[in-house]
Amino acid sequence: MDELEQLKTFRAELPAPDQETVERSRASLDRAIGSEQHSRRRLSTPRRGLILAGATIGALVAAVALAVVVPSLRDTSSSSARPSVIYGDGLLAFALDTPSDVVSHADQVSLVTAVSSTDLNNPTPDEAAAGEWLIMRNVTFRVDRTLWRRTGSPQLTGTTQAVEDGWAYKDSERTKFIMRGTTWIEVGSQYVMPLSFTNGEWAPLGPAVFPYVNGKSVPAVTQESPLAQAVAGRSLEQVAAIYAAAKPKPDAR
Amino acid sequence: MLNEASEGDIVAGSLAEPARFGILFDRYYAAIYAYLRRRVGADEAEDLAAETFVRAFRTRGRFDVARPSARPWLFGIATNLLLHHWRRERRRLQAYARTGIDPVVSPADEIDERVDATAAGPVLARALASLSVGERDVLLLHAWAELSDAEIAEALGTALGTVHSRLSRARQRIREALAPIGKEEGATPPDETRTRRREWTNSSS
Repeated sequence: MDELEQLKTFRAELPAPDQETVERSRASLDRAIGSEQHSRRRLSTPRRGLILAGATIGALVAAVALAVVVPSLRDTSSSSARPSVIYGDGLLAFALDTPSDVVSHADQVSLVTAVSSTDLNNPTPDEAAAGEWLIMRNVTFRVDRTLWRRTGSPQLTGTTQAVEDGWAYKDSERTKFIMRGTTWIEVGSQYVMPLSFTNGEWAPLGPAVFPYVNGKSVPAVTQESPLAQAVAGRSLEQVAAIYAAAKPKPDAR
Repeated sequence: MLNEASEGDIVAGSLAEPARFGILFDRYYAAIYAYLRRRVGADEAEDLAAETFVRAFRTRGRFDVARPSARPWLFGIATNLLLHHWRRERRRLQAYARTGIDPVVSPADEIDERVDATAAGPVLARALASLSVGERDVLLLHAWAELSDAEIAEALGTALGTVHSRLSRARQRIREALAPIGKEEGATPPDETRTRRREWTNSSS
């Protein structure tokens, strides 16, 4: 018997889960499903358009959004009327308006480069039937330099991936789609990015991610929070100092 | 069944109809639980298996629905969750190697001798404890979850070459650890281990 065969017998006789164990775990999943369905109903008609699944937008704005409403492209059916950018609106699970908010929820803040991107073009049957959907992007980021770390947190080095805004698709045309208050991620560009380590995975805190251009932090046009104002035009050293001086909120994790 | 939906289709469909995700729970819960159970024991396995499916549901928008099977993805999530437990897993393996009593086996399991059938159990435990987290993940996804090398690469989000090298190193370490007892007659565990095993069984019955 070779080493693999021996390893296959190691703890092989441990019993399968009993019915109560299965039911408890199934109840956890059912609660998550019910929570998402509840969020969808609650946000059903504030604006006409698509409402994305929590799973999609969870990644879209770094696991902080509960639900997203995207203006419908039906309102802009002729090509000439189509905007160059469509902005989506979202509800955030927690605020990211100040440096204190960032150090309350992030595990590290790093200068990163977007090194590659893959489109996630997966319309649901309903979206396909309606003829419009969102194409998200799976973006790989390389950590170039870390500006701030939470004491005791794991450290991200190398690369990480995140689902980012992409395109609204309709009538064979793509229009750039961005969550309001966040920046477009461009492959080859650098960003000052707070990241949270949750359940074994790193995720950017979208509204607190700012482009880094010519040696300065430069918030996007819809990034108007006090945080954006605080870091606008600042060098990496200055941004690092802002986060180093920020105090986590008393109820921070 | 003709035209049975692929698991990519099921995940895609669950974006519009979240309850459809339950199909994947029904298909894979037992396998995910069994894998986690062998690595960290019953209590943590239950928590982690439940969290695996909740997490998969919440991040299903990232799943590449062109993939026919969700199995590597789910094992990848489960393995990521184990990252928080790697020190405890190692301590338990070391304890097993030291005492011959496997801490992940409970009296309620009603297993003969309370340990796995192989006499090489403590030796394997010591060898597994000596592996890096990455090597152990690859080896056990291969041996226990029965994923192919390509599926392991998919599950862990790593390069196929990395999987090959880690698996090769891990197998070599296990082979070297087992070599001495392979030379002993019947691969019998040390007397002390057998004695402790029996004492433990008696005291808990």
